[in-house]
Amino acid sequence: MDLKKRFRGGGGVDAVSMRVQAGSVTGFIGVNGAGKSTTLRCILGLMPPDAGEVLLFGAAASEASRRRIGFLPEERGLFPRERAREAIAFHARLKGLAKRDALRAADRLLERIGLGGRLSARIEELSKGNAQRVQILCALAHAPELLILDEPLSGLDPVAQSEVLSLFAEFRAGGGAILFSTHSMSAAETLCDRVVMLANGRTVFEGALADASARAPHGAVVVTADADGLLAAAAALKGEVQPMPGGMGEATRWRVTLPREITHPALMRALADRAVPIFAFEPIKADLEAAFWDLAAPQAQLRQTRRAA
Amino acid sequence: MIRRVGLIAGREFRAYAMTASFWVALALGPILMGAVVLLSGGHGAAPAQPSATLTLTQDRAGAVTAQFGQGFPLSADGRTRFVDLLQRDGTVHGAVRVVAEHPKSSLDAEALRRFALLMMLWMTLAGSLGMLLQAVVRERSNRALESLLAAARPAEIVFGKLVGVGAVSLLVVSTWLGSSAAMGALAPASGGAVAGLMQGFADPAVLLRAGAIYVLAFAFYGLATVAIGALARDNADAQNLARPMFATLLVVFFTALASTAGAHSLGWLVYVAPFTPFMLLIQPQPIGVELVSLDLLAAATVFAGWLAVRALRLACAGSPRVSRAARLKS
Repeated sequence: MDLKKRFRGGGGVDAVSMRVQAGSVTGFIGVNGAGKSTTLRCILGLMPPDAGEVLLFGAAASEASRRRIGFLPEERGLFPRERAREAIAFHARLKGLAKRDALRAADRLLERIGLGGRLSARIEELSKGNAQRVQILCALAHAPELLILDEPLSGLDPVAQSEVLSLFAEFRAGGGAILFSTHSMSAAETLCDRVVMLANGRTVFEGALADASARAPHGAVVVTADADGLLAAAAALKGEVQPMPGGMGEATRWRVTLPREITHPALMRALADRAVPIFAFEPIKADLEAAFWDLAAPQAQLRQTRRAA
Repeated sequence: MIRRVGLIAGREFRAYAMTASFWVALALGPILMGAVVLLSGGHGAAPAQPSATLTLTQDRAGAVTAQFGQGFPLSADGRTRFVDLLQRDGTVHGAVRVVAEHPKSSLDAEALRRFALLMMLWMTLAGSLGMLLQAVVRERSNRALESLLAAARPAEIVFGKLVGVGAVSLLVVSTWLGSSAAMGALAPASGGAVAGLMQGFADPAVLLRAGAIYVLAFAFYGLATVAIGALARDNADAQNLARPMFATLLVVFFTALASTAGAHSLGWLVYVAPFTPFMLLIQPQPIGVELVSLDLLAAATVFAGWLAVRALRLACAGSPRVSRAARLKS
């Protein structure tokens, strides 16, 4: 049964369902207010759903099964004066590890990310990237089987992002599953093998990354003043044409969606054959971002329109 | 549960206590107190000694009034019998009206000690509640509370924070009271009024009673503070929500003072939980009254604990805010 959770003031989720497979990385994608945080909170047991069920590791979620989860919230909550080693051990001990094991895990993980020489460094003494990595280690220290990450890359520079991504890759290689919510399509494409897209409190896509990309529209943005010529060229290729905002003088921007087997040069040839003057031609890449815009963005816009009405 | 409460408490304690500024501030109190004792040594008035005075006055009509001095070492019954003896041996004739001496307007040493104790504990309590409020709001506002709640129950977090900040607070109170007692013990008998005041703290029974009342006061007000902190979304919100509680603390403080300055009609407030600790500190009560009022305070503390746990649960069950980072992106 799909997960449902509504709030008195509006918002929440209506019909969310997803599976996170062992050893996989699942990207949880949606615009702000789509219901990502609400879903994660229900999974973590921070709030009960109105309907539906959360199954963890094949059984109904319980306190014991939730201890097998590592969670990284979007905004970080380490005490600035806390020492890196103590912070990691504290979170591991909260999840049930004995003090000695927790400290050992903290030492090993800090060594792994190259901070072995700074075990006693206070969080406030670390760079933002390193502090973020320490926070991630807090979620990893008790060796969870599922890692839930809320925007793990926000505020990180590209170097720190790549270091964090390598940590996740290592975790997955060890058989752990990752569910991470993000706004970054490139991060999702780099790390995920599965994607769940949320729009307006509903799951609009769940499946392999490749399947999501395959569903992305294929075509081009064309800027021209010859609307008739463009329509004729697109019709010849069995494509669809939609006007877009932001033209150039008399020329209009058009979004041309083509069947998957029709290439961009074929469209250019069709336009040339009809002597259509082209001011700009921008291929639309069939990637995750395009799929997201196609699947999730229209619903979000619809919601905004309804709100405005 | 105890283990996780201990872990959270230890973390809170370290967050406040493992800083140089904390220890400097902690040391300043006893140092200042020692300086005051040294500077006032021999120059202040000696503490007032209890006197056994009886003043007999006869008005024009011949009616005799017997007025016993404060600290006269006889009970009301004993005083009546004493007057009877005076009548029998002929010292006084006719009917005698026995009255107690009107309380002195100035504070005697005992009242001054109780006032100092009240002041010390009230100030520490108010400061500690501010720390506790920050401890909750800090994690509530940056949503780090969610990562704690994903690993511990709300009750464990509430009591962990209460015990952690409470331990810091108790350390401060113990240092103040302990150093006062030590200074009192070390000060010469003729050390003046300040030394006399501190010698009153050297009584272990006084210290233990004050410590126990402080722990109860902190538990009650602390749990109310956690509830307020959990409901606040940020610092500004917390300040607004906490204002009535701090105003109540002020009212309680001045009411307790007023009850010693002749406002005896306020005595019943000892049974009202927010007033109980301070009324007991400023004016010792019969054991029965103390037991009943402390029981009521304990019951109110349990209720405040329930509220705090519920508030913390609600804090994460509400509609999630769009995070700061997400707002910036959108």
